[in-house]
Amino acid sequence: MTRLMGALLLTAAGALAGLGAVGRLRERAEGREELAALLERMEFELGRFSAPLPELFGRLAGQFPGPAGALCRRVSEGLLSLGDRSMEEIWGQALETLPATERRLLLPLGQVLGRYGAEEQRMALAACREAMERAAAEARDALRERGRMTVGVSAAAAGLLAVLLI
Amino acid sequence: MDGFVSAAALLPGELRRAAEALGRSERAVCEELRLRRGREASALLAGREYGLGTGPVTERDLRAVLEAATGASLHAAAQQLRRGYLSAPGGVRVGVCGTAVWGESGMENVREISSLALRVPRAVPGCADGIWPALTAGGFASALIVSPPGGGKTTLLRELVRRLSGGGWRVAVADERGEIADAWSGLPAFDVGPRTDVLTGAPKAQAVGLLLRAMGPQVIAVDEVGDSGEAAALLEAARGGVRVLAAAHGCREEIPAGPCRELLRSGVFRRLVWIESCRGVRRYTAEEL
Repeated sequence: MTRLMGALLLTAAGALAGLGAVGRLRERAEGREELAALLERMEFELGRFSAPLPELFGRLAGQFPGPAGALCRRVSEGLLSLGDRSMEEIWGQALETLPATERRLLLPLGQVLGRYGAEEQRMALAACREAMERAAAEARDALRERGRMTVGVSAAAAGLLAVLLI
Repeated sequence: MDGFVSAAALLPGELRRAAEALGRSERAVCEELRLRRGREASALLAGREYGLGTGPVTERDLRAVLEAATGASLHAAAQQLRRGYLSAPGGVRVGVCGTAVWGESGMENVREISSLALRVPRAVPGCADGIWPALTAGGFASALIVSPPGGGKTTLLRELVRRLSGGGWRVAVADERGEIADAWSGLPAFDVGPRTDVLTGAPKAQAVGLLLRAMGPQVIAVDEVGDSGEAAALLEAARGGVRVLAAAHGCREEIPAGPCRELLRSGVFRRLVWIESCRGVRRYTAEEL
C-alpha cells in the first residue's frame, strides 16, 4: 500500500513538474504578447499625440499588469535621473529583468526613443513590435506543441521511475 | 533654481563639470553656454566668449543636451524646434543649429545638429530702477523695450512685470517660450508679481486674444514681437484700453522693422526703452514718444 502511494505521489509530482514547465511557456507567450501590445500603444500615442515619454510611461505603467507595466514603471522611475543618465542607459537598465530574447529585441529602441521625430520613433516601434509578435507567436506554437507532451512525458517518466523503485 | 544652474544641468558629464567650475562672479555674468560640434565648449560672459577647457564637443554631447532639455521627448518639442529653439526647464532657451529640413510650411526639422546655445535666464531685481520714474510718470503707458539679441530684454520685461504687478496693476503675460515666468509646472519659477497671470506655450498672437477675453488684464506683456499677427493682436488690445508692454530686437540706429514699426506708427506705444551694452555693463534709457 505504502509503495503504491509512493508511486502515485511520484507520478503526480512528475505531472506537476510538467505543468510548471507548461506554465512557464504560457507565461513567456503572454509576456511577449503584452510587450507587443505595449509597443503598439506607444506607436499610437507617439504617432497621434506626440506624447512626451515621461508622461507616456507613467500612464502606461498602470495599464499593463505584467512585464510591460513593470518595464514602464522602471523607465518612468529612471527618467527622474535624466541628465545624469541618458535615455539609452535608462532603457537598457529597465530591460535587465526581462528574459534574454525580449531584452535583445527591445534594446535597440534605446537609441531611438525620445531622440528623433515622432515618425522615426513610430517606425522603430513598429519594427520592434513585429519582431515581438513573431516571438510571441513562436512561444504560443511551442506551448501548443510541447505543452501536453511535456506534462505527459514528465508524468510518464515519474511513473517509470516509480515502477523501477517498486 | 538659479538660471545658470538650470542651464548647466542640461549638459552631460565633463561639459557640466567644466561649466560648474566657473567662479561665482563668472556665473553671475554668464549669458550663454555654447556648444559647437568638434570644438571646445564655451561660455558667453558679459558679451565675450571664453573656452571652458573641455575636449571637442561630440554629437553624443549635443544629443544628450537635447534629450535633457526635452525630457527625452524631442518629438513633443517638434513645433518649437521648427523655430530653431527649445524651451527647457528653468526658463533656459536652447538655440539649435544644424542642417535644416525645409518644407512648404518652413523649417520642419533640424538634422545633423552642429551647435547649441543655452541662454541663461536671469532675474535681476532692481534693473528697472533707473527708468521706473520715467516709465510711470503720469501713470504707466504702453512701452516697447528694444535691444539687440541677448541684450537683456526678457530680464527687463520680467522685472517691469513684477514691479507693475506689485504696484497694483493686473498683468497678463503671453509667455510663449516660458522664458519670462518659467511657469511650465503651473507655478512661475521667477517672481513676476502677485497680480500676474501667465499663459505659457501658446503662440503670442492667439495668447493675447485669449488673455484679453479670459483674464481681463490692465497690462499685457509679450516678449519679442516679430510678426504681423502678434502686432495685430497687440493693436486690438491697445484699442481696448489695455496697456501693452512688449520687447523687440533692434538698436538706436535701427528702429525695429516690420510689425513693431507699424505699432509705433499707429501710436500704440507711448514710451521706448533702449538697452545698450558697453563692456558688459547694460545701460537702460527711456524716452517719451
